[in-house]
Amino acid sequence: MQTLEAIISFTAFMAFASYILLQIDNDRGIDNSLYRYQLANDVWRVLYLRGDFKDLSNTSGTSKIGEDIEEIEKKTGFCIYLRGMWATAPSNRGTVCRAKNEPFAAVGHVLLIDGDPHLSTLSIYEQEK
Amino acid sequence: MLSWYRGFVSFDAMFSLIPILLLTVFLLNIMHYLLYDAVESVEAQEKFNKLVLVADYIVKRGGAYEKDNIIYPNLIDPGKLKGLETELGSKISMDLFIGLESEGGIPNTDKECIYRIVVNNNTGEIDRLFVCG
Repeated sequence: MQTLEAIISFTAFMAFASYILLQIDNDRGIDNSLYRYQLANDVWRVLYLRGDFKDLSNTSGTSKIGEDIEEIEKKTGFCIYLRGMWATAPSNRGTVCRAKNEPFAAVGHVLLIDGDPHLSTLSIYEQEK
Repeated sequence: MLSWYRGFVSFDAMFSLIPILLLTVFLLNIMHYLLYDAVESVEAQEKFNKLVLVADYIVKRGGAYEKDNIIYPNLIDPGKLKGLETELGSKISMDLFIGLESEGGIPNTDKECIYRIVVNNNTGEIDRLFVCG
């Protein structure tokens, strides 16, 4: 009878201990949400400083914005997409960037193309390894 | 007869104390681990936040190119980066490394690093600004 009691107590204790240990979140990681947002804005700002938004109405030939985006992708290991712009479409880029499904960060900006405001979203993704 | 039973009671108490003590030690160990883990996590987050803060300051003001009282964020003047390491490092109590990839490369240290995407004002090329600490 005492052996049975001991076994039951030991089982209850092990269940309790396992539950406590499983509650410990070992994969908390660092919250880098602000940093991600800053990186997305950096990309936008760098493209602006390089004058890449000036010739967006030009819809033929290789674009400077596409080249710059590819350079940033090489330096950072991100995939960068500007939604709503022909210049950054995969077909207008030399390489295809294989991105993960979830965006690393995204920022929206309004651009004036031929005097008309266009809302564009810049998204950066981590590259698939 | 009474003392004979008292001996049994003492044995019984002793055997029940051992698991209680073991349990207490186990719980104390878990609490110590949790506390240590939490402190480590908070310290890592604090360090990362400091690096992000310093990098943002440099990109938007400290290292940004300035002309006619207009500051150009993300356009980095490499000349303005000199001295920022000690100036900012002393303020946040950190041994910092600040540098552009094209100027000094990625530091070969065991420090934690973050980078920002910028334009080097001297060359006009896309660059990475590293802040390590």
